[in-house]
Amino acid sequence: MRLSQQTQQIIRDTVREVFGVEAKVKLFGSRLNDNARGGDIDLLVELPSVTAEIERKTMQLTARLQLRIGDQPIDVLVIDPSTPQQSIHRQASLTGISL
Amino acid sequence: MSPTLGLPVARFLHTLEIVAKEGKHLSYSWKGLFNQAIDVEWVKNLEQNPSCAEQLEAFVSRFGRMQDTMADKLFPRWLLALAEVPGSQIETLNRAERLGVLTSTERWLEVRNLRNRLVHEYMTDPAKFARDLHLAKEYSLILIETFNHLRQDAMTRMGHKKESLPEELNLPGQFKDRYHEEN
Repeated sequence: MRLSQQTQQIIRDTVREVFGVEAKVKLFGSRLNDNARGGDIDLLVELPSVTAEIERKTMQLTARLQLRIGDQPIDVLVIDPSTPQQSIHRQASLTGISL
Repeated sequence: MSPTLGLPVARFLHTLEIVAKEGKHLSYSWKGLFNQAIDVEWVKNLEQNPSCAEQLEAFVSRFGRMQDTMADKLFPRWLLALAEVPGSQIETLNRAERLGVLTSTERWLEVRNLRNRLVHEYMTDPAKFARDLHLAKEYSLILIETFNHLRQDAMTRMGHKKESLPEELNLPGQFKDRYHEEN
């Protein structure tokens, strides 16, 4: 995984700050590949209960992360039990690694 | 005015004029689009309703364009006009926040990230897309307000006359009042 311990900690903390302590976050995509370079930080946030204002909170999370770990492309997918399951969600959840 | 100061100030004022036009067009599309009830059904019906789809395209494109021009051109040129050296985008935004023209760097980044999502992730989930549009409705106000603050700054800090600047921008009062109550 190409994310420093410090960055992982900031991601965990910021996800909890925005979505609450029940939120789980996984890293998926190219940052899992140690041989690749650069690339977006792809995050999947899984919420155990239906959550209000998911879109606003997603924008807030991305903005805060860009302020805390540096201005870079961060792609955040957020799903709660009401989100229609798309194959990208299944793949991200299956292949992602919990932070 | 000294020759070294002339160009940066002229460029800032020129860009301010461009953004004023972008803001007027955004305002027009905003009113036309949100005059309708934007919900899941509305999004699902877009395929059968090409004129609504065009209206939506115009809004998304104008929202994105105004955000881009302000972040990429207007803020840096405003700092150059103040004889400051703009740094990275976040540094420039932080400086704008500190000087009072931007309410919050974090919120501006939210606007920028929504702009990216609207442009790149087109309607894969109609419910999510409808909610994104409602967020864009609200975030448009941040663009308009920030333009007005920069215009005000050109008068107070730089000493430009009202007559030499573009007019202040407006969004419908009802929404504006709600926004101010909440903030």
